[in-house]
Amino acid sequence: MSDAITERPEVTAQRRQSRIIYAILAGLMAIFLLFELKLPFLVGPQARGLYEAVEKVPAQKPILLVLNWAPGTYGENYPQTEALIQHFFLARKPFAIFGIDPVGPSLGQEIAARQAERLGRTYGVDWVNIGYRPLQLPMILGMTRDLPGTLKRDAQGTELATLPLMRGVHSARDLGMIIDVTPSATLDIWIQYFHGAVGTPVGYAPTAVMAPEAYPYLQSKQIVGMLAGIKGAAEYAALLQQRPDASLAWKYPPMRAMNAVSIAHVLIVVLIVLGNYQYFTRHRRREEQA
Amino acid sequence: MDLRLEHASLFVLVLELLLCGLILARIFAARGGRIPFIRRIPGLSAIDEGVGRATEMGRPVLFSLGLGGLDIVTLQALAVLGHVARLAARYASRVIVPVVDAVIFPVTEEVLRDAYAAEGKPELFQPEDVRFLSDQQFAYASGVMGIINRESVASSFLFGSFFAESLILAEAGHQVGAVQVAGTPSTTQIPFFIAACDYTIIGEEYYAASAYLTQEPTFLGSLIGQDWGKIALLATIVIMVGVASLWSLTHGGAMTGFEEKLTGFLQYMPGAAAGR
Amino acid sequence: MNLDLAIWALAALSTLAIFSILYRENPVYRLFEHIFIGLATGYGISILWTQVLLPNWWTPMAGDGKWPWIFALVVGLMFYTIYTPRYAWMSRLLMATLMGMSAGIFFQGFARLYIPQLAASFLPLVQPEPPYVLFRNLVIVVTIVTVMTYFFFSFEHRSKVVRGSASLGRWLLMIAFGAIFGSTVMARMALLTYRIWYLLQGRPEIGT
Repeated sequence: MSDAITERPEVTAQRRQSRIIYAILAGLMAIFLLFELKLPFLVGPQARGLYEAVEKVPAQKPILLVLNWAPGTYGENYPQTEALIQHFFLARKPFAIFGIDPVGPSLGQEIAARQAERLGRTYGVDWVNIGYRPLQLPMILGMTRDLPGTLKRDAQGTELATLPLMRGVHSARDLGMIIDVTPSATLDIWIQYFHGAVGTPVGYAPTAVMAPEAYPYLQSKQIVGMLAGIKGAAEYAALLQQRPDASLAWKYPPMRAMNAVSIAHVLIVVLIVLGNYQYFTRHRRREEQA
Repeated sequence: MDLRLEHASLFVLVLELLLCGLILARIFAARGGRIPFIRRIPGLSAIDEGVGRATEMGRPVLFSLGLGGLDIVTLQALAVLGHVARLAARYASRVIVPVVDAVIFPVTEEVLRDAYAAEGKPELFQPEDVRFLSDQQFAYASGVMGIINRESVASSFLFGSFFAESLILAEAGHQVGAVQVAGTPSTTQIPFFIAACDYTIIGEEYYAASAYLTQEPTFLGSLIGQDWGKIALLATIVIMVGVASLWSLTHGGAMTGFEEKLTGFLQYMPGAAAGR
Repeated sequence: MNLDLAIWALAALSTLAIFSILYRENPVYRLFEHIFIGLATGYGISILWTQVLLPNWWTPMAGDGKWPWIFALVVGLMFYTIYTPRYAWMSRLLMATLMGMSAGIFFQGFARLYIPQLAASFLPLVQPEPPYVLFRNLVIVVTIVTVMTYFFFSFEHRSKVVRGSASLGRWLLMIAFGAIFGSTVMARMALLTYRIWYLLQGRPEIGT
């Protein structure tokens, strides 16, 4: 049907311009991905807050790492998850992977298994994968009261109560922290039913889209820290690099990705300035002609 | 059993009764003949313009209900759809409605069918114009993009809960030169609609849409009752900022005691104490 | 043929096919769009049965003998009465119950989420400690008051105070939206970066 309708000349010109911009953008990003460059980098208080909160978690209280992401947001949530898991393993903080998205826990399993093999960590002692459960309010309420009784088994079918990591965990009070890695608005669940009910600290690792909505929670101290998209992952990676025991390996290096994102931002700013210059000069020329 | 996990506190019950009471009072007042005033909302006035343009160009209107299920946001969007559909029926225009949720699908068909029937043109309703695409976000977005391009819609209305696919939909409409009116309570998507659409209804204006378009007493009363609730909350904030400032003045800037007293009061409220 | 390489090649082809819409609408885009929709819907149905209905409804009912679960099917079927004018009231009953339940649950959640934020807005505007915090407190309080004023619908913004406050509120909203826009641009660029990384670096080695 689109063939039957003739495109307006200004739309054609705009399409041509758009294609040139897309080509320049892709080219610049490819260059910055292929070659590693050390650009200046500042770590923000949100990422630092989460890092320090993780460091303070008692060793006997596991962290619940909630992975609610799918391959659609791989570019942001994967490096966030990889950074967090490496931190947990290096700092010897036991953690349990969980998810209310079907795919998230299996993606986390791949990361954790690879990093555990590299760093010599044991399943059942240093980490477990509880797997996916569909989001239902009775399940959430059950988790706050009796976590092993509600979730029962891990992703491989083993009873949670038999795993050394989960032995001391009965209710939400026995969790050291909940960190939600997500592209959706799932933070409210953990704040309402865990932090709000029993005071469990909550950390947040959203995609950059969701990050601005979380600032009120940071200001009111309802969350302890936040990794905002790929930038948050890169900041966390920078903090990990400062550890004396830093032994890091990345499948998708966040700092190199952040370099490519940065050059894209520079290009966008330049185009915005050029576009506004063109808009105002054309506007002034029209006024002068009139 | 720790009841804080299960039930709301006394404070929440009081707050709920207060807010509900205000809203119900205004609804009954409106139904009793005291029709309240609401101010003009520019974006909603553009809806008529969008449908008119579609009629002039002989091309269809696209109306997306967003990604929500059967919730308040989608019900508001359906109310706006009803208004758009009645206008389109009056001018014998088509309205294509791609739908993301199977539960919404029959409700949408009913709204559209009723709108055409109300304008006396039930024969113009085409069931194939209501299309269930997918319940997956980006599959839905790519389907809507395809519809916008293939049907070359003249106007695009985007009302409901939107997420990452919002700019995909808005940009697709912009590329075919459609007039676009968007409304969503999803704060993170409003900037994209402002950039790519001709008119955007932001925040609370979205919830005012059904009252503004239908001018029904119940909806108008509900909106005014909500306004009173907002005034009460705003007054609380202003008064407590004054109290905090007075405390700071009399205690040399040290707010610890003020925060302790506030925490003590918040103990009666669910979860609030945990944040401090 | 190496399976990993084949999977990568298919993913790369799908990526490029969907990107082709940037050039113009074309049959390749249309084909992969329909494949995407079909796959996503089929996958969703599969997950719905295997992860939701089977363990939570069918197994307790047919396997563990909890026969009252059959009423869940009866209640669910009530929704289909929306297609019959005579019995459509049953579907409305169901929808009204769901709406009422969600409104009640939502209110408690609202209190737990937003009351702490309301309390966090009680900030001193006089002599705070440390002094630089005064600017931050002022911005927060002024933003809250002016933005709330913008969203009042029950009176016309006639008086200078109200008009000025609403106007400032609108400006502050636009500044906030600009910040959100910038964050979201970063999110989009991050997703594109990963796609380019996948095309350049993501292919598995032949023979592994």
